[in-house]
Amino acid sequence: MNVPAPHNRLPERSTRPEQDTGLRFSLAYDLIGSRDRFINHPSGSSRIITYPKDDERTERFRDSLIRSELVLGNPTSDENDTEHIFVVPRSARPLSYDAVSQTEGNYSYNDGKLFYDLGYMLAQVLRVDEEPQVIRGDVGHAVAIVEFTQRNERALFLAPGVERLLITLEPDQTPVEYYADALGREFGIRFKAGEIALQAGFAKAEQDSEA
Amino acid sequence: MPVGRNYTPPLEALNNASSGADRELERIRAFERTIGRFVGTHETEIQLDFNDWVPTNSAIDRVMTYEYPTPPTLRYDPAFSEIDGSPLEGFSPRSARGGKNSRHGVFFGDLHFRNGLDLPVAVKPYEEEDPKKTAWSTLKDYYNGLAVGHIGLYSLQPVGHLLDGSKTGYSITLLEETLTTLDSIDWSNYYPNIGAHPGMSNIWSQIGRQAAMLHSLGANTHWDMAGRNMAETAEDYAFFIDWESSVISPVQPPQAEMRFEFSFPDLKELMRTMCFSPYAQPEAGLGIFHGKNGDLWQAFRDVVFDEYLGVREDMATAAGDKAQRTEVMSELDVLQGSLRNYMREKLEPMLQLPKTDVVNQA
Repeated sequence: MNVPAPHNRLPERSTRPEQDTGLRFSLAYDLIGSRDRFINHPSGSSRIITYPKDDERTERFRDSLIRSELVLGNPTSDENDTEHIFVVPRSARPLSYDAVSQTEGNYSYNDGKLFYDLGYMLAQVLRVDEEPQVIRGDVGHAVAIVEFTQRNERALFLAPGVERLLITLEPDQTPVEYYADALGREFGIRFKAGEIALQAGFAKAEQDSEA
Repeated sequence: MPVGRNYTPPLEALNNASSGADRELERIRAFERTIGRFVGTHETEIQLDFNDWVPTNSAIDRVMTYEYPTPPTLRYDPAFSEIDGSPLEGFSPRSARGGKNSRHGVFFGDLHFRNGLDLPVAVKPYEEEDPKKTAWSTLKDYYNGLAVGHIGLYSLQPVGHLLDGSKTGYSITLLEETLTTLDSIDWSNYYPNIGAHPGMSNIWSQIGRQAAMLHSLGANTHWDMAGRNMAETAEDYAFFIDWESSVISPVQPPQAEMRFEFSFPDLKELMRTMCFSPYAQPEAGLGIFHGKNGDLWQAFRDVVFDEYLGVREDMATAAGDKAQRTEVMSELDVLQGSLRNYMREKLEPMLQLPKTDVVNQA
């Protein structure tokens, strides 16, 4: 007789109305004041990120970043809400904890591609205001990776709320220097291998903006 | 005959890798060519029978006797009844960071069926010179995946298998999009400040419990408990994947020595994967203890092994069989000694770390 056992499935999703996203995946960031959680509903669960609204300047940056399609997920809040709310992909995770990945291949998103895309994206952030803007704090917590992307889909995005981390770049620094310093501190020797890719990403973004 | 739609022109936007053969792309194109040759999509008829000592092997024997070789066919699990026999028409690959250390070159994407169903999957290719060996390995992965679910452990859900009598076969599981393997995590800062990383400790706590359940529920061994074969989801569930080499049997081994043969290889590999560097060749590790000083045996106990022991003891007690409990306790004694020796005599010298004070470990 066959044993009538439950089918081989992942653990049942939590039945609690809310559930914090696991720390490996969580895009909650103290500097932003954001929370990352699953909202469970009988019809399915959604992952949302919330954070408080800010002053007019920051809101302007936010609108600009969203228009440039740099921010992860879809904003759903309106002007009556006290918080910004973003519905984000379940698989998104912060760059911070990712281990090195050097696999070469069209469908392998390795460190070379990652730092190239990161450079391209951070170069676009620079132009969010008339004065060049850079991200303070850990870049790894301000940037999200979406896993298992399909053709022509992007894998890197800014975490919702990143506009609260923007500061004006010091006049005696170039953006590449600023980020090379920050990423060197965060990723150590691993970043040394990716530094050229980051510079190439910046260069390509500048080239595209001039065109 | 369905015509395979080719979804894989090289991605110029992504392809800034150095030149050279792209084995991953070759594997994906081979899979698409295989799909193009397929003539049928059928539900699997042969199921696991847990009256057998090793249900997976019995099921494979029956497939090889009654279903192999058949015309090239995708056979899918009855849980995927929405496929409804619809022909497989194409495959859209997906890009990923995780799963790249798989020995078999697993790749990810969506299967497209003629009835409009798109199914996100992970595809694991098997290739041997002898097509029958290929079929055996492919079926082993598929049926072991089902068997693991039957004994009550969480893992990825097997979708089916593709066999066409050639040297290559494919085992397919449902793609869990929030899944990442533990070798995608940077563990370099975890030890020795374990208490500062509760999320990481929670992962190892779950891994310890899952391993203990596996070894308590019968004559079971994963056989490749490396970091690449452990996974974590966004909801914080950690579990094992990749059961291709496993033995899954609900029969309890009668003696401690036999139990040890199932548990020791898994925990030895678990220990190795925690010690070796992510850059080690040919078998990369997670790098938790690599380059670290201190009492690594005690660290292994703190991170995962004490939890494992606790669950093993609890489950042996709960089974209510005194003789069995005695054998389990005897097994766990030998297991501790063997693992401690393995850490002291094999791993620590390989890591070129100073010997820790053995007297303190007694």
